[in-house]
Amino acid sequence: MKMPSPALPLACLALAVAVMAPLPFFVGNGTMRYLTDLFIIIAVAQLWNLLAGFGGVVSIGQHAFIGAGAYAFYGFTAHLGLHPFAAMALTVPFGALLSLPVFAILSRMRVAYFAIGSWVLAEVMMLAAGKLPGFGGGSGISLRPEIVRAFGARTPERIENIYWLSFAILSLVVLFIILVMHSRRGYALRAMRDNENAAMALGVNPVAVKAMLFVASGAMLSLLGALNTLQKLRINPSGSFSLTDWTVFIIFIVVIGGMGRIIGPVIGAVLFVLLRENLSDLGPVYMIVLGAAAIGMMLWEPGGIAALPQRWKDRRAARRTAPAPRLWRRALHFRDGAGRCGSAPRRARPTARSGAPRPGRW
Amino acid sequence: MELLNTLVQGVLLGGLFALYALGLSLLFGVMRIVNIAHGDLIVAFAYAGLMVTEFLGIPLPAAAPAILLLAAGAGWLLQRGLFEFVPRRDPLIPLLVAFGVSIILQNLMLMGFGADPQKLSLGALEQASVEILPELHVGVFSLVVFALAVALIGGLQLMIYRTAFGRALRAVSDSEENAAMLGLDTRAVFRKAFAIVMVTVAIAALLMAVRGNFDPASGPTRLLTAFEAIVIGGLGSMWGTLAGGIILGVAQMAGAQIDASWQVLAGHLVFLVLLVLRPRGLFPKHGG
Repeated sequence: MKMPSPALPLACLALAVAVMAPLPFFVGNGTMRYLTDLFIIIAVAQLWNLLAGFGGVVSIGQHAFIGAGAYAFYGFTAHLGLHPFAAMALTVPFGALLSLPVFAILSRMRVAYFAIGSWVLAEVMMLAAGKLPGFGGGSGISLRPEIVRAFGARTPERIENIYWLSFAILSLVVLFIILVMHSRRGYALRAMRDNENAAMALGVNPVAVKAMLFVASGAMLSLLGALNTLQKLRINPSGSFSLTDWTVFIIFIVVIGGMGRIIGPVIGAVLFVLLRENLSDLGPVYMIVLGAAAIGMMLWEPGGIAALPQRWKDRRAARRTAPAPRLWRRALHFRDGAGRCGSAPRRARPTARSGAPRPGRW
Repeated sequence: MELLNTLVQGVLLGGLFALYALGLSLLFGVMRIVNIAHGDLIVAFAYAGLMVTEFLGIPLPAAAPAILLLAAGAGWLLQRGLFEFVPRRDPLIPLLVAFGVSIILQNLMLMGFGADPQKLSLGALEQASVEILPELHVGVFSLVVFALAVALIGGLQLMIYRTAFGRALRAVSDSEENAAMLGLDTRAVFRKAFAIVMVTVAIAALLMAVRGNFDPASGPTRLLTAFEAIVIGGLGSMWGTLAGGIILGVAQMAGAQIDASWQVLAGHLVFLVLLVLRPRGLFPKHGG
């Protein structure tokens, strides 16, 4: 298997930093707030993709860590009297510590059950957050003004600072994912994603690798949750632990954009934000369209939009190497070994059994 | 007496929870699909019941057979029209497809019926109660639900272990490839299985709708309850699922004694504790 070099993704990241970092000098506050939202969404989507696309761990409970981070940030500042910067930094170890027992419980369940189990845990955390004394109960509580002011005394200054902060965190998240995916562990992860038993035979411990990913993503999601409270200015159980915002939309973003590729969540999130701008008035229709698009994408091209160039390239290549007559080809693919029809993929996707790598990550 | 009352109410509620879980368990057993849209399908058929009784004015007992038939057709169609095209080699894909179905269903129901809670009425039977012990009154309807749950589990067990179709189900569940090699039409088995699953969904839906309020967003709670009952009982064991449902029902009723807001949380907490203590469930099908 050819090891892809991290040079291209790192160059793209450097380019993005070069473009986005000086942007506050050129654009207005509205644009900056808009971009800050986008950065947080991309970062959360990257972390979901890290688990599902790279690690094969589907969680429907990642909103738990966003909410927990928000509540921890409030608790550290309001109840422990910590400086907001320290409080924000502390949400990282807090998230990591929280995700350890969560993973210990969930790792007893396999893929699909893991997903629903994570949902149960998220539900428990949300209900528990509403019962914590000193956090405003079910209706929540606003951040204290002096905490918000620590990030900039005046509003324009604050918007600028939060913009930079969220972009810095997004860059670190992406850098982390690039480095992990091109490290020894990252290759172990790909091996595991393709074939868990084979990976185990080669000395990869799937549970340890998954635990590492889960803890890393829990830590960073907590930080993003704290960051997001600075945008929302208040914590409350249903808002901070929003299933729709931080899990449903995020899953759709990654699935449509491209699972298992770093560029996928970026494409998905940009599309999502643009569509939201124009279609969110439609309410339920918007959700139905997103859901249908995600299902269609899973069936047509599980690699999402990011996999389309490769798909077209493959198709062109296939056309060049003289194709078998159409009917004959169809007969070959009509029924696979299990006698299923239709579920036979139109183009042979590399599978674990063929020993080929999954489609390129970029 | 208070304690005994809570216990009895909880056990009877557990019957309803087991009914939620049957379809989910069957679908996973046969197709290895965890249908995240399960709870939303339950709510959808509750709305189907509402339409028939409220808008067409047909009483529920008379309409029930038609609704169950409709459910079987819907199940067949869902498999034929969607899940048949979902590759199952990677469990991620069916999971995410079902997730999409769940969100679509929730929002379709929101568009069609609005967010207000609804309920089906069954007239006098709903309020009727019997005194099984001195000072211990039990609703007749709850007893009927529990009896139906037991009957349905028994019936499904008979079907799976005593009929030709049950043999086909078990063969496909063991190994789809081998079953196909032996000449079994696995596609037809899957379609029929999905139809049967949807009949159990519709039964659970109608009973749920009579018992309490529902709204377009109440699907996920049903899904989580069903899932917890299955995991507590042990995967693949239907009587285990009933036991799991009963444990959850008792936990919820006990939680509700403290405070209404503790009802759901208590159920979840008992589930988590049992998951840590008995990760394979109370009645694991395969030893070890």
